[in-house]
Amino acid sequence: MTSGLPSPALSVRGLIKDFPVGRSLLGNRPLAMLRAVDEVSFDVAKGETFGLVGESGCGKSTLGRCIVQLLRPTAGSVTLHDQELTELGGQELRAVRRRLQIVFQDPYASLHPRMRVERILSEPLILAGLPAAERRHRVQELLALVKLDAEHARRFPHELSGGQRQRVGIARALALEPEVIVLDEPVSALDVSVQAGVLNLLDDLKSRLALTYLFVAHDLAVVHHFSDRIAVMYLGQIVEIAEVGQLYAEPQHPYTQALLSAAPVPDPIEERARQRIVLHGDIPSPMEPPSGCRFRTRCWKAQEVCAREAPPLQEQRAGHRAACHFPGSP
Amino acid sequence: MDEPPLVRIRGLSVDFLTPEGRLNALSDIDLEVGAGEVLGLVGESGSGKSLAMRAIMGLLPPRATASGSIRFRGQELITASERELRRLRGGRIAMIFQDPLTAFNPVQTIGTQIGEMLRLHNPGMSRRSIKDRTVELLELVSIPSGAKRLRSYPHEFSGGMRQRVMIAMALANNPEFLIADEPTTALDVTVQAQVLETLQGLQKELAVGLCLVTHDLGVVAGMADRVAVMYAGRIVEQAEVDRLFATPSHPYTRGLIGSVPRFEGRGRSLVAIEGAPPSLAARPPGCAFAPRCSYAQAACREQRPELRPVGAGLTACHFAEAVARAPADGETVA
Repeated sequence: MTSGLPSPALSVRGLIKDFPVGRSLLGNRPLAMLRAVDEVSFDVAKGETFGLVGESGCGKSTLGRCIVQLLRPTAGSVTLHDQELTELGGQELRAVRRRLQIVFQDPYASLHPRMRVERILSEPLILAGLPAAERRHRVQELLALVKLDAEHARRFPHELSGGQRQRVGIARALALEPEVIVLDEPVSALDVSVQAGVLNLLDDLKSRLALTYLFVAHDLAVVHHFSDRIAVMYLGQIVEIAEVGQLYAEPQHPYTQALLSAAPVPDPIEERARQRIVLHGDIPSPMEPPSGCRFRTRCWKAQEVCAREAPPLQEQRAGHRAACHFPGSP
Repeated sequence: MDEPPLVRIRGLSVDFLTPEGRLNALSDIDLEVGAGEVLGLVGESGSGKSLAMRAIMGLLPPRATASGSIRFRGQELITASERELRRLRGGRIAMIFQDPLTAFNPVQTIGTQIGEMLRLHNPGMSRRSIKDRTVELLELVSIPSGAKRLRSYPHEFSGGMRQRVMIAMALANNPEFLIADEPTTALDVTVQAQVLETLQGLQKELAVGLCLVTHDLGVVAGMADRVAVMYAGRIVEQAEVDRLFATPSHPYTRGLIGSVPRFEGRGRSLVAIEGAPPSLAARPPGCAFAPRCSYAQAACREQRPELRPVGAGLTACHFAEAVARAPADGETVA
């Protein structure tokens, strides 16, 4: 996938995450297991923005959390510059988290409501053992980096707008100069006009600080705008992965085609001219995923083989892989 | 025009009474929706778009008061009695909410709830015909085997299906005017496409006047005939849909359109509107958008621009002509 390039910044191999569901009447055994992420593998090159897109319940956020080890994967491997993360204990993990950070969707829920911005941004610096004088300096530096005023340091989260709060969340993630940042729906809680500002900021920070991003989002237009490569997830699995231009110009998997086609475009003339692929039915429950190809229950191309055999994620052309028995034009 | 339009709103204002005094939430809203027409009402959270719709339905929160005029087929709603409003709501005027799970009664079956809607407005209707009509409504919104689903509870439906049931319920009594408040915001994009297709099909087929309230410019572009853009409790621009997207003439509309990432033209940076909308209590004098506006001059901070004809539409901006002429954002002047 990235052959010829230096070893990837982040590498995920065969990652699986199961959640226990329910509990038997006596004893602690779960009634069932829900497989939220099912054997996902991909690499992210240094300096790349890798987009992970899918609808609710596809496992993209769980995957993001498994990568930063906020959730421990059931199986599989996550390596950050060749260092295996899944086997690390508390102390070692804390050291790794300096290099691997996460920004959450809801900046209101992820910032301590009783802490001033100054304190929120100092917290990681204290853990890193930075002396007080340097901390104050670094906090100011961080605020400037995310284009907030120095005076915002004295504010509480509720005194900030949504966009400003998300900037604080980003500043906190940047505090210890990480190499890789997982952005988990960083703009979806924000109004459109504010979204653009945060996206532009993230773009700008990436080139200034030579960051590597894993960008997790449900909005394909946002992911498309922002990423170099994109992986499309459906019910816990990656169904297609490609360089962004390729994915948009020649999507191979029917689900990707449907996603692209369903996204409304802010142009009335284009909207009227569009032939939309409208899927039928709902996303099946991840508790009981369909046999064979998981998308087949909503797919217009589905044949008998799709129910029998799960299609492997196969190379369609250089750097473009799709998991479909009948890839290609809709 | 001799016949009054389906809905005609003039000078609608809504105030909240608070311990700190009167807070003005909506000012001077003028809107019209014709029979069979789709009006898109666009704005960000707090712009007042949902409040305006609640005023039409007579469903304002307790401490809010409305003034001005809202006429439905000539009948004044602002001064209408609760009894008259109740007869209209769910009858000739119906509403679809964003989150169908909170809009339904969780402990009653779908069949009972749609039936209730029918019974309320048609006292003489027999049980048999209520059931038949309910099944017919579910089929109308493409819910298969409607007869079986009558006994299902709201939680047994997926989000998309629930929204279909809500559309069925809204259409129960053949409304002439339908308000859809962010009808697909809670849904995934492929499911949104399904629900919008159903809604659009039925709107055309039944020739219902529809006011579509949304923050999503893409949804508006695909469905609306006309668009009104709201900012801080006022309408700042109103025009026919093609004209609004082709030559937006309010800086806020321009910013909104430019801030949406598009598949075409990747790589250009997005137009960001700096700052955030003002809170209710701290709306600036003059133009409420001035503090965030790159066109703003001293005049904007002093004198509030009125909505006036600009091009083939209405815009509330002192510099609307210049804004309309400016090259599209991201392009350079040749």
